[in-house]
Formats: sequence, C-alpha cells, structure tokens
Amino acid sequence: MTEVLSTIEELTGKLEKVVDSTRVFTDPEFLEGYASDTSHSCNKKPDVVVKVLSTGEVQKIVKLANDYKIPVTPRSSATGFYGAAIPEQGGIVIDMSSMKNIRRIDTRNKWVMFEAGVTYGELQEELAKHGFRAINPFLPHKDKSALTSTLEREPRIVHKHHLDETILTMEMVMPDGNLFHTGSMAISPQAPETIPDELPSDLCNFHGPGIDWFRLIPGSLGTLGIVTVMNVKIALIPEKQKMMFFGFDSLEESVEPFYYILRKLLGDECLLLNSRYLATILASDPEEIDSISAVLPSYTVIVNLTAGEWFPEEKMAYQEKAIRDISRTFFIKPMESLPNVPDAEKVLARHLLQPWDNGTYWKFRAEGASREIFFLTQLQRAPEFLQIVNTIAAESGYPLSDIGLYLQPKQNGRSFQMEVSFPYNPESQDEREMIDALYREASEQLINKGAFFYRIYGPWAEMVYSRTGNLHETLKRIKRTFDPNSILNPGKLGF
Amino acid sequence: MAFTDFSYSALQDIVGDENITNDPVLCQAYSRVQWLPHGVMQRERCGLNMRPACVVMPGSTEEVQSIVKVANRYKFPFIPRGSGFTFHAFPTQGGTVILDPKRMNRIIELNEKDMYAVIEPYVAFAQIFAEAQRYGLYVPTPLAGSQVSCLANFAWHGAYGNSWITGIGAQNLLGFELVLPDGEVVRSGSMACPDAGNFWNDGPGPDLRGFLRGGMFGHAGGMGIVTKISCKLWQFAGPEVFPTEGNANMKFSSSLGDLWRWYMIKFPFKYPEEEEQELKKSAELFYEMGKAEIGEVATHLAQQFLLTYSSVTKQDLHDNMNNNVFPQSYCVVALAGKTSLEQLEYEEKVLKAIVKKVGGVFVEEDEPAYKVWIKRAANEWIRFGNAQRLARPSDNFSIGSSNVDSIDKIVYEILASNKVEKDALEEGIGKDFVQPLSIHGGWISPQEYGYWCLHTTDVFPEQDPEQCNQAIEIIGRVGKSQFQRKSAAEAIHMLGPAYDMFGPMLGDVHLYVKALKREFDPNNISNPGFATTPDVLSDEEYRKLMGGGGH
Repeated sequence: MTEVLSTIEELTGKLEKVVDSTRVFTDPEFLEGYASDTSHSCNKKPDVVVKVLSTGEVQKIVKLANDYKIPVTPRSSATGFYGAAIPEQGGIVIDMSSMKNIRRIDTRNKWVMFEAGVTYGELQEELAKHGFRAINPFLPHKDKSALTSTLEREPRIVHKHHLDETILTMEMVMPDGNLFHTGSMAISPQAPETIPDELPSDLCNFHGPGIDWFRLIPGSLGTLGIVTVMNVKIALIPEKQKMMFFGFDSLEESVEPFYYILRKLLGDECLLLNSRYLATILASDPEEIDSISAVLPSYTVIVNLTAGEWFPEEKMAYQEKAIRDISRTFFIKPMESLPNVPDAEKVLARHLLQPWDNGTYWKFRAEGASREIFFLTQLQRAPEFLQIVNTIAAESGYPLSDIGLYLQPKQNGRSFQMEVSFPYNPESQDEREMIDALYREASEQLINKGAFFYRIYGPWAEMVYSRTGNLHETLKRIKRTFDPNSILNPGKLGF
Repeated sequence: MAFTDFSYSALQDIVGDENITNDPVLCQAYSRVQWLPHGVMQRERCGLNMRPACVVMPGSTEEVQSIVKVANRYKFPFIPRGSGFTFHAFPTQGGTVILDPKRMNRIIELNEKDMYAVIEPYVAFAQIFAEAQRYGLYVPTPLAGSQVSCLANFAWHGAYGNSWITGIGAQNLLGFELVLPDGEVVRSGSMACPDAGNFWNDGPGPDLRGFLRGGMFGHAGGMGIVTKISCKLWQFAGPEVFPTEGNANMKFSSSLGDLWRWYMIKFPFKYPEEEEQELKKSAELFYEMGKAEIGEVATHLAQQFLLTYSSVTKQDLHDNMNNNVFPQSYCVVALAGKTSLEQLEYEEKVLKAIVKKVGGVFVEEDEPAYKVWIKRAANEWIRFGNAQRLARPSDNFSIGSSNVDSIDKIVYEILASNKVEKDALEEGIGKDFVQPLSIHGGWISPQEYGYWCLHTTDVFPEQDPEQCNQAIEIIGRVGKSQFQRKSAAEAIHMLGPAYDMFGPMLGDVHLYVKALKREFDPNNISNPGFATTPDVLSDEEYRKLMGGGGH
C-alpha cells in the first residue's frame, strides 16, 4: 500500500532532502505565478514548486512522486502560452528554467546541446559567435525555453524539409523515474555533462533505442517523460540575404504563386502575413499598428533569399531571376521593400533570427492579450478556413480588421501552419468571455471542416480526440504502460 | 490453442475460398526467403515447421481486422507480409498464418500540390514512381529494388539512393492506418482526423510514428498490421517517363534530361592500402556539400556496390570484376535543377570548387568506371528498376555491418568493421564468397545534407548452409565489436532478441517495449518474437532462440 503524505510540510520535508531548501517554494503568492499563463485558460496552483538544477534532481523528485502518487508538472519556460505547464491536478511543479547550460556546440556536425531552461535569445547569442543560428519558430517570446518550443513542435521559421524535425538525442526522466537517453546518446550511459569531446558517437543518430522516442515524446506535453537536455540541428548564418515581397488583395490570389515559390525551393524563410499581423511586428509603437496596417497589402508573402560561402552573388542572381520568372508567370510584382513602411525589410530580416525584443510581446501589443487558433492545413484549403473564422468572428461581433493571420510552410510547402489571432483587452470581462466563446466556436467548426489541430492544448484535446476513432485510447494505453501511477502532468491530452 | 479447422473455416468466411489456401505447395513458397543467409539457415533448422498453416489474402482493412480478431479468438500466430523481402516475414513455428496483401494494391490518392500519396500494402515503388513522375514528382526508392512494397519499406526499414535529401523510411512516412494486434484500428497523423486529408504526419498530440517504428527498423509486424500509409513525394527534375534503352535483359538508362547531371569523383590514393585517407577525403566532400546545401544525390560507393549495381547479368558482373572497371571507391553525386537551369549550373560551379578544395578529381568520360557506371547504371540509383541486383553475385546477400551517426563516425565505423571482417577472412571465414571480403569498402549514405549518415557493407555467400553460417558469424562478430566500441549502431539495431541482449545497457528500453508488447498483443500472436518477446528471456530461452549458440 502506498504511504500517504498528509501535509504539504511532509512533502516539502521529503523534497528538501533532494534539493536545497531555498529551491523549494510553497509561498502562496509565489505559487500564484505558476497557476496561470497568458492563455488565461485555467487557474490551478501547484502545492509546491521545486527549482531544479540537474537531471538527477528531476529523477529523484519523480521517484518520490511515484512513491506518494503526487502529480508532477514539468516547466521549462519562464512564460507559458497555452496552459501546458499549469498543474491541473496540483502537486509538484518542477521548474527547470534555471538549467541554463549550453553544453556543447558541434560546428562540424551542426548541432547544439542545451538544457531545458535555455531560451532562444541565449541560444542565438551563443551560436552567433560560431557563425550559426538556432532553428527557431517565428518571433518566439524571449523567455520561451528552446527545449520546450522544440518539444511542442512549434513550426520552424526555416521551412526546409531537413530542418523540420530538429531533435537529435535527448536525456529524459521516464515517468517511473528511470534515467533514459534517446538516439545515440543511449550508447554512452553517462550524463551529457560528463561526455568527453571525443566519443565513439557524435550524437547524430536520433533513432531509437528501440522505438522512435524523438517522435513519441514531442507533443506529449510532459505526460510521457521529462526531457532535461537535448541536442538539435542548427544552421549556418547566411553570408547574404535579401527580402522579397509579394502583395495580394485576397488570400485566394496568393495560393498558386505561394505554392509555386515553394515548389521551386526559393527562400530559406517564406511566410505569409496579413496586414494586421505584419503591422503589429513593424510598428515601432503600438499606436501605429492601425495606420501601418492600412497601407500594407491585405496579404504579403515574404521570401528571404539567402546565400552562403560559395559564390554568394551568383546564388542570389539565379534566385532573383527565378523570382522574376515566377512574377511573370503569375502576373504579380515582386517588391524589394514594402510601400509606405520604411526599412520594413531590415526590421523583418533581424526578426527572422531573434526572439521578440521590442518590449511587450508582439502578439499582445495591440490590446494587451491575444488568443490564437492554429492548425495545419494544405495551402489550397486556407481560404476556406479563413472564411469560417471570419464568419464566426463577425457573428460574435469581433472586428475582422483586428484578426491576425500567419501562414508558415513546413517541409517546403508540404503543409502549412495557419494561425489566426484575436487580440483583446484582458482587463475586460466582457471581452474575455466573448473571445473565449469565439475561440471555442471557431475551433469546433474548423475541426469539423477538417482543420488539422496537431498541437492540442486545453479544450482542443477533447474536441480533436472525440473525432479520431481509436487514437486517443491507443495513446492512453501507451501512457498507462509508461506511467501506471499517472504521475506526469495528469489531465493534459485527456490523460 | 493452435490453428485448427475452425480457424481455417473462420478465415474462409472472411476472405472467401479464392483468397485462402492451405495447399502445401503454395504454402511452402511462403516458408522462407532463401536468398538471405538467415532464410537458408532457418530452412536448415526448422524444415517444414516454417511452412505456414495457411496463407490468406485480405482485400481490405476490415478483412484484416476480422482476421486478427479470429487469430485472437483461436490464439494462432499471424505474420503480415509486404513483398516478402525480409526474413522476419516467415514462420518460425507451426500453425502460423501468413497475411499476403496482394489484393491491397491500390494507389488511393496522389496529391500533386501537397506532394504525397496514399497507398495500400502491395503497391510497389515502381508503381508509385511511374505515377508520380507524370506530375513532376518522384518517390525515394530503396536499394532493395523498385519491386518491393513501398508501405512495408517506409514503415519498416528503408534507405534510398537519394537519401542525401530525403532521409530514410522514417522521414518519408506520413500518416498510417494500423490494425493493432488485438484487432482495433488506429490512424495517425492528419489521416486520423475526418476531412483533414492525408498530408501530414505528427499528431494529433504525440506522434504515433514513434510507437510504430524505431531505429532503422519497425516492429516487423510485431505490433499489428499497417494497412494504409500516406507517404512523401519529392520534386523531380527529370522527365515524365523514365528513359530507357535496350531490351528487358540488357536495359540501360543514360539520360534524365537537361536538368539532371551525374558526377563521379575519386581521390588519388592507393586502394585498398590507403582506404582510410580516401574515406576521410570523401567525408570532407560531403561536409562541404552539406554546408553549401547542394545536390540531389551524394553517396560513396565501394567497389562492391558499384559492381553489384552496375552489372546486369552474372557474366557482366564477372567481366567487370575481371576487367577491374572500378579500381577503387568513388563518390557519386547528382545535381538536379529543381529551381532552374541556372541553379543547376550554379551548383555545378560550387561542386567543382569543393572538389578542388578537398583534393578530388572528376572521373573522365573515357574511363571505364564512368562508362559502366554513369552511362549504364547511375540513373537506376534513384529508381532501382534493376530488380534485386543485390542477389546478382551469388543469389544470396546480407548486410554485414551498418550504422547511423555523423559522417566522420561512419568512416571510423567502416574501417573498424572492415578490420573485423578482414580478421575473419584470415581465419578462412568468407574465403569462398563470390565477392571476397577483401574488396569491401562500404556504402556511405549521408542523409539530409549530411546532418547524419548511414552506412552498410554487404556480404555475398552462396546459398549453402556452410557459407550462410559464415555470413551470420561475420554479422555477429561485427555486431559484438560495435557494442564493445560503444558504436551508435546498437541504438538502431534493436529487434527481437537484441532487446534482451542490449536493453539492460540502454536504459532498460527492453522493459518498456516488452510492456508495450504485453499491452497491445496480450496473446503474443502478432509475429511472435517481434518487436521483442513479451517477457524477459532467460539465458536458456535466449540460447534456444539463437539456435543454441548466440553470440
């Protein structure tokens, strides 16, 4: 029979045998910071927060949690967006944001190994010293953990096929507290910090051992294991780059040219933004968002042409010629800058490499908060889904001109993440309720029509899994196999 | 409980008389694959026990599901099969039912814009390649040949001529439909969501591909039967129809049009004495090409591979060997103008600069190696319509060593594996193989612009038990040496008894996979022994499973 801990003091007493007491927190005000995030989607305080510094500490806490059947929720970022790190059933939050080591950069094999608390800002700064860049999503929050972002499968801004899945190997703690390494890291049983530079393996094999953990664990929101360290692919910073823009009056008009640009493998980065989202990024002051939005094309496809070490001028020349050829084919005009927005290309070029660094996070600039719906689709279906969003927004009384739209290709256009954003005033109860209803209604209808919600947070889990036959039950069987005590992040994904 | 008349009758009801047989002659054909050394040895050890109790040919997912439910009712083992090109698809115990998917051979969808296809288990690479070409697309095809099942290859184990850009099977599988060992159907990726289309792989939530397959392998049918997949197609710079000349016996392909160019590159070292330097220079070439992100194909081929894949008959093979048309190993590169001719010409300029930088030399058109490889065989390196050339030297072959790691470490691995094989040769093991071990060199296949790399070396024994035993002995020695060296290979080679052998040293992974096997296959009837046994093997069981010896 499981021994029962009756009080928080008993629990903290046990935890303080694992970590220094200064890193165990039970103060209600402190815990409040872990009870919600920018999604405002739920509010649940943990019973205790433990700031850890090593995988060994995580391991001991998970074993302890198993002994007493106490839920454990891992958290790596200093901020959260979709409720993934909110401890729905209380218990212990393992805060890994202090695990800040960038352990190794392998410039020959193009990877970086880092701990859970390293942010994209920290990673980019270090990699830039070596001429490399992280494969980050578009304009991440500066406090977002690079490890969490990778595990949550945020779409990478570089859409190239070989940079879509970036995880190589991982160190993780299984739900039973077992230390586990994936890919070729499994061959060297020591902890990554003790692995010498010269190894029999260069940690480039991401497969196995046994099953493909590099795929099963991402997307699981910390329910199948706690990843503490990983090494991921990185890319060289280009020697030259040049932004090209195409403006469109409607999303429909952009579909064929956008497909074609991607089919021709042009641009390291290639994305589409509507005028609202683009203005939100370009405005030096939030007050300018409306006026900038008004002078931008309704939809802009941005293509970032790049060249590296070898004959960069010649590479830029053939790419620019290809862009001109495409323009003639589709009767569209390429632009090297955006009309009426000076230096837009320079601002965007900088943003492709960096997390947002201009004060309030860009998505919150307009109104103070925003709610996003994102999913994958084929580009040809994007207009259909936008129509659904617009119809529901209009019915809800939400101004269509405030909706942000972003389309990010994956794997050279094999699929697209479509994101729509509804900025709102978080201080207004009415707006919060309206946005919540709009969010749920639009999500339901989009899922019904075939929008593929692949990263499923909060209420999306039930909406999606109720339509996917036996998939949820199969995943639950896997979860039960690895985590029979249901210790890790219970409540997420309907587990 | 075993396979009985009741079982047969129940299966007959599901698929109809015409799609089931227990005719001993027909069943015997499903008993082994004797051109793999393991198949030959299985025949020696198991004899008629390898003959299945019956062969059943389902025509749909629903029929597969019904068959699996009957198997669970009567508790008889079943083995799903693709095109049968692996020894894991053959019975090792009496009373086994083989599911042959020959009737499930449809290309259900080919989506040109979003570059994917949805296929059933018996669709061969040749089918889908030919269809995709019509839309300016193609499918990466394995060295095993375009006649093999695309679904089985992507879900199980595949490496391709153009892996430089496409990766291996793991990278080409999108969604899938799986009949679990208990008969439940599960779908993954966007295929799981009604009306979402079949275009995407991961999610919703955790990516179930991680459960379906792993390492270089899947579960060999040990976790159910895949009945449908969606798979990636890729931009193709070649023509709409694959150009060929000659007749069926002597068919060649010399041009893929203006937007496709092949190159052979060599390094001025004595072969095989200075093989290490040659391999290291080849690695430099690939690292530089990866940094520049140029090329459609980039691979290093040893004599063995060049001879095997360029020869169209046994006589041709021996002529090429005797004439020493490939006096050394070569790097083979293809550039493709997928953006434009200007892009192709730019890449050619970069390639020439890189080759010069790393001290390589382009093979000239009048050299025998160029005439035989580029003029006659190179195009097949992306299509492998030269069916089963692997079997050409001796009608028998096996992978002798393989690994996945960085390009540098793969070079190290090849040298280390070759040494093990050469030591074996000195003991007389493999001395009579058609292609002697002494001309080994390995196939280096850098993946996804060189972010990672794969290699294999092959062995070619005759189809007799003595030579096949020697081949298996070599494979065992290489495996053992890899583990002693802490090579990354063992993380990818987990299958069957290997879980018990290596799992305790790899985070107890065998316990997790055994727990999955128990959860999803409680009766242990889905290709028993794969992915692994449900329980930890005792020493005695392990020895028995390994044929009394083990390694």
